[in-house]
Amino acid sequence: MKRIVLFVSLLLFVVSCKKENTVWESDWAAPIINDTLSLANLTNDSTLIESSGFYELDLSRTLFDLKVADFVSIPDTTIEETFTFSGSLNLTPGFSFVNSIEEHTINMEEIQLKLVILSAGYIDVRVENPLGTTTIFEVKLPGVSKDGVVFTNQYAAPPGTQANPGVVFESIDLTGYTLDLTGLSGGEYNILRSQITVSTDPSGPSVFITPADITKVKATFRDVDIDYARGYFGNRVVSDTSDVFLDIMNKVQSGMIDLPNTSITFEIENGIKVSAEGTLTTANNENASGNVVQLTGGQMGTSFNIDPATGTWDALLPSSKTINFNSSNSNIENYIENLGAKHNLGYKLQMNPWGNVSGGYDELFSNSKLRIKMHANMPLTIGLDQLVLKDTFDIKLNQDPEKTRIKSGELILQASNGFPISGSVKLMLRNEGGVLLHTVTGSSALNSGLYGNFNAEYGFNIYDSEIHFVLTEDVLNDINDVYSIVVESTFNSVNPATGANEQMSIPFGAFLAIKLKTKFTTENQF
Amino acid sequence: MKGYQSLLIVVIFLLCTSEVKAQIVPIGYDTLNRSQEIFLNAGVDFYGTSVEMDLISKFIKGGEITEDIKDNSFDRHKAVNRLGALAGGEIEYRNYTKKLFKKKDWGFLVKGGYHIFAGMLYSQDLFGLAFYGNERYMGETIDISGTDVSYMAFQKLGFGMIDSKTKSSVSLNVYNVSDRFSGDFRTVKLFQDIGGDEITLEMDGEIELKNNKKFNQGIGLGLDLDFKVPVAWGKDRKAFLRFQAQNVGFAYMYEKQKVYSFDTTITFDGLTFDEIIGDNSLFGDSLSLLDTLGIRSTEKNRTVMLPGYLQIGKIVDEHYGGKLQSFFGLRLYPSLIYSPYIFAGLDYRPAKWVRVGANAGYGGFGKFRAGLYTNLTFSNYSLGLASENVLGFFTKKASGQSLFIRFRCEF
Repeated sequence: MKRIVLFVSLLLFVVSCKKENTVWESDWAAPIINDTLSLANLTNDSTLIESSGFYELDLSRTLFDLKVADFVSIPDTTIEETFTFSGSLNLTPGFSFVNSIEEHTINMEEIQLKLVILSAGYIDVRVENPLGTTTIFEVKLPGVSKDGVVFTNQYAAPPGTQANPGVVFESIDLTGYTLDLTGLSGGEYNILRSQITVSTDPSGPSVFITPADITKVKATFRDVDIDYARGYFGNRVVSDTSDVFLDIMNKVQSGMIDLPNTSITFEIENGIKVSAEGTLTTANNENASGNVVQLTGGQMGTSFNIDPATGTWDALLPSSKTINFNSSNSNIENYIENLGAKHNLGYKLQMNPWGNVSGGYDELFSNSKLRIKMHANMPLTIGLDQLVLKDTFDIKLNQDPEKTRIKSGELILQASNGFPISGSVKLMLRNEGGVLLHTVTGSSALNSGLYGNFNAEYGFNIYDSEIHFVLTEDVLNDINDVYSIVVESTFNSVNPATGANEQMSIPFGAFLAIKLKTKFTTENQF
Repeated sequence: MKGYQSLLIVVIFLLCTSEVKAQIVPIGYDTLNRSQEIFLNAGVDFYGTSVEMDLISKFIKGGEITEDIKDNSFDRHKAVNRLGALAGGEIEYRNYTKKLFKKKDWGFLVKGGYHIFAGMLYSQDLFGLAFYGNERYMGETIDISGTDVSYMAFQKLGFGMIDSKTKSSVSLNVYNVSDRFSGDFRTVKLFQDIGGDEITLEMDGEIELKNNKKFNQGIGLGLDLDFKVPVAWGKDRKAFLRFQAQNVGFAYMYEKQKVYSFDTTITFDGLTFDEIIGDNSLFGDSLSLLDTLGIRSTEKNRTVMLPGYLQIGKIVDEHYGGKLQSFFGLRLYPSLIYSPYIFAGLDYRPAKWVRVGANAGYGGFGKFRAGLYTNLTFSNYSLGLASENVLGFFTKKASGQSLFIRFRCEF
């Protein structure tokens, strides 16, 4: 027993001496980012072109693209004809009764169509036979033809009763059919014609018909697309506004951007043979600071005429109307330099503003479109004066002080800059409540390429910078409390000759080559 | 002081729970007839060729490894270095009265034990990378090729027979492997340019480790052999040579082992912005770091050799009439990590109940080592205390420490 007590006492004595962590420091280095940024990264078409060794902006964008259906469309229309007799009658086999040509009006509101060629559509024909013998229906649609052949179809409806008539249903593709909508007189519009013939089966039995026996034919035009239309298209108004968001502009916090004399041309292209009146109703943008600039001047808000297209379907020549906004007739520079993130653009178009002056000879073809395009062409010359871009990244790091951790370190940014723009960067570390904990400022600025040496390979100056962002022990001790990092960059376009921020042209092929490396000391615990 | 306390913890624990046998401490060869004997052996022995005790002690008792401590050990490193540890304990019961197979001299023995073998063959660059980081190697190549790491913890239960006259014995042991790790880095080179712009990692090797936390990972079968052979020694004397094998056998890892193999060259000079934030970001859901690094991962059952050893040498004769005896020998582990270890020493017996001795050795996990021991006998009990690396207790420049305790009871 004594030995056990002695042993336990000894064991407790020994284990009561708590072992400290084994701690040592080691120094590490590693590359993190290696990439080159150029304007080629920002474009996917020929927006940027070269002009005399510098970039030039050649921007063309289609803002609105209105198709035929936006102006003229034929609603689904049903033609229904019924046949009844006023008295009872015994019908011998082969008895036939013919309806006269009937006219049916398509509800097109102010549009008055005379001739239509369909690129797609269907007619659903349904016949109902209440007689006790097979009945043959011949459906003829005068004015509806394809390749000169008038639409005529026969349907043999089986015998039926009043309660359960014999029914035949067929759906016919109308692609390529021509619809003459001028009616019996040839001077009307939106008129469909039909003629129905009903016969009893020549080899069937005689049947007795009463006034209650109703024979029906129903033809429904549906899902009709127009390949060609002629008539008077009315003077309806088409208008729209749309918002265009440029999210990257939200990162602009302050400062100015100075652009050269800028002009933007809006081109309205009319592929419809109808005259129109148009108006650019609004163009405004709102920047990250909430400042809104309305584009004024030029023909903003002023109506303008749009001539009809000319030619035929295979040689259609759209008319074109251009509206130019430049520095002398508008505030276009202010508009662009506001660096708006949200752009609101609107237009209004009215066809036939003077009524049916074409005598019902407005025409549109399958390739008729009405487009509004924007075109800008200017040297890519930008002046930046303390332009501040700010972006926030959520981050959550966790370093256990009792385990291996990064004790201190630095980020090293090596950059080769060919842009005539200088910049400085600082990192702001914020806690969960957004309170600033630390600010890490780069050891120097990223200098403009204009301060560098001429590089014969690229044909412009390149400046090599090395910027250190030191992460002190104080910063890393608080790293567990950091919930977001705000990266704030300030840009200037300094002219080395004057020392002032001026508009500077961007050399063609300019790039910013970046190598981000890190050196850090770990406190290893075991 | 804490270092000794740590050692003491290990020894006491091992004594109480199971295990080891002092490997070098001369076992007094007792040829007298006994009825029964009980042996308790326990010990721990860690040392290396290059790492100094002041650094090792930080891993035992904790504290800061200063630049001086790192520098001292780093400067001692050569191209090839070793570091390892042996620990464990055994309890053994011998009964000479029960006659096995009706042979009058054959008694039986049962034993149980717990053993740990850990060793590492490595380059100076690996030490530098671990303790200094990679920054000091800018513009150089960090070469850790040839690194070989082996670790195994296992328990054994054995039954065997023993000759009551010669005390030669053989036992068949069943083993449980509770933990295992091995790493074979045939080629691992890290090239860094002077500016730190690019890192190239060339790797060819394999790592194996257990894939779950189960205590029973594998089962093994092995032998302990202990033969004493009398030889003529001088004019009128005889001495005894002892041929010993411990834990020689194999184990089958019936729990699948995780095997990582790699044969690839990776060059990294930084990520592009697309790789960080683009649609094909490396940090998307589909990222597999192992695939990216070209490391293949599989699970396999393995048959592995137990870290047993063979030893041959002259031992101390308990019944020698003189006061001074020599002993020497050679020990081999089937591992490149452990180089052949030779040892020799002198045993002095100033009184019948006490023996003291000193020994020196070279090889194993380290280089030259010197040890001391004493063995006290009281009636039917004897107690031995030994260190094969006595310098480790006195100077931080030593490369390890060892302490063994042996208790014997005869009746």
